[in-house]
Amino acid sequence: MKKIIVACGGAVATSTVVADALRDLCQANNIPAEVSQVRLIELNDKVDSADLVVTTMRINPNFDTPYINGISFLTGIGKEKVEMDILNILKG
Amino acid sequence: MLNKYFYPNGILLDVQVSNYQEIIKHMGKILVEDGIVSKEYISDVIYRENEYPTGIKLDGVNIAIPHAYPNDNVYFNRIMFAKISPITFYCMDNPDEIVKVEYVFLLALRSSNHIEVLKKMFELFQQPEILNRILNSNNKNNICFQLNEYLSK
Repeated sequence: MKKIIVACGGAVATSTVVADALRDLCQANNIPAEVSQVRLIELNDKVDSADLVVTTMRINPNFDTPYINGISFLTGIGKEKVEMDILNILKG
Repeated sequence: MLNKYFYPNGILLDVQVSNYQEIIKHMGKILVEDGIVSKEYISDVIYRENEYPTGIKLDGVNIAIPHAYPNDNVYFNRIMFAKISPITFYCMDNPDEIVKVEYVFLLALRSSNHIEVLKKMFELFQQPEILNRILNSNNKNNICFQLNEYLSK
């Protein structure tokens, strides 16, 4: 089971949309995954237990967990590439 | 019911403002007058916009989706829409970058049960042809009808 953390400012609006898209992506690719949402300020406490972090804003990661900017799930621009990057991390 | 989020009085055309705080206040005042949010919601949204901006560059148009942390200052789920003379917002995915926004969707959503409407909104944002057809209309009722119709599909 892969653990994915989605972080945005409020852990409600945009991260909910991104989390849902990630669940669909994992399901479509037969990757068992648990997707949870946190506020950015809570991220550092939870990041060590995750396989992947996706945010809706650019951050300067101070952690080793793989990190992806997920704004493409909101705009559609460049989404295929981001999906490939995510799948590569999860399958790796 | 996803067909009641937009309402005619919550559709604004040709708004002239000079910064993002002003457009949030301008739209928020209408939401307060219409009994949709309490007056505290306006400062909630400005506070969050300062901290985590919501400007988004789409394929061809720039929008912003100001909203607040979930709280009890929202009484009814509604989304307001305004066409404005372009003003500066900061980008959601990079707060150091500015974006000139012409279309503002102010979200007034209670904490529960709004994932479906958000999914539909972002689905719309990813379809430039349909979105531009709606945005190019200059008729409030028509814009309201088209947006609600899209959400209820």
